[in-house]
Amino acid sequence: MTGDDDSDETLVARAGRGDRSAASRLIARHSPKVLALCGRILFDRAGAEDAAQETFLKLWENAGRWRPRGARLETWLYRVATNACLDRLRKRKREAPEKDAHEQIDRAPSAVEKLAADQRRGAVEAALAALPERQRIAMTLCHYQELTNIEAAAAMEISVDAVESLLARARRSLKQSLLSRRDELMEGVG
Amino acid sequence: MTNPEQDPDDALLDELLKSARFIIADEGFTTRLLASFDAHQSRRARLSWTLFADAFGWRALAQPLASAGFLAGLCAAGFVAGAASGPDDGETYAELAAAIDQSFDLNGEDQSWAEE
Repeated sequence: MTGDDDSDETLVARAGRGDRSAASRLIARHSPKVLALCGRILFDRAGAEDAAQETFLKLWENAGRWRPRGARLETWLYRVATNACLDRLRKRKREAPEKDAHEQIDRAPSAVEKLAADQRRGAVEAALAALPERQRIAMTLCHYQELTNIEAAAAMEISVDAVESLLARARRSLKQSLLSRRDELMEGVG
Repeated sequence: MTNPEQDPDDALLDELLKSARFIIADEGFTTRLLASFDAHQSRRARLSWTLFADAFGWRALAQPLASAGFLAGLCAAGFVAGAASGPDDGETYAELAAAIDQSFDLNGEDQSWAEE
């Protein structure tokens, strides 16, 4: 951020008054991270784009009356995006519970057939996809979106202790699934 | 998060996690988001008008006002048609002038009153 006029608060207020350029700047600033978060939770580009669009639509709807109340806009966006993704995951499970389970299991064997880097990437993505939803969200927010545990707790609407517990369990699961194959996965890493 | 320097396994895990891909927001996606802003703005403008109209009861009055407007329009059209087809002012004046006795001298009459 370069100055007061460029702050999220100012841009949101301007967007709330219908300023298109302010909306455009908010999109440029926050949409890549929101989309990345949705992608890591849903593992599906179309679904992630829909969830991210829903998040921004909520922002436009609330822009006129949005107040920071101590939280950063980014944290608010992550909270809305996380909820949008969770809704989609629940809907997905309701509609095709077995298909979803198979998708997660099928990823690993297909990745084994690929080259070293692809194999590593595939294994990591499969391990992340296999995590329970809330562990994956906590991991994504803290590891990939680089939120602090406090910010992640605000985004997930849970306590900091709960976030720490989710992170610890997620890392334990990831270690079990990935580090048992460390020689295979770290091959070619300088 | 655990400090990776404390545990080599954590450092290795972090290294592995870096390899996961993420979805990149392309121009089409940002254009779609901006279009959603435009759509929201026009929806909001329509909604504002609706709320305004409701606040003044205009929408509830729409039907009776439309009937009254139709009748008013009909009356106005009748007035215009009548005005267009009636005699002009010059014609009316000539008829009135012919009806009045022009030989009667109003000034002379005034003087006769003064003498009395």
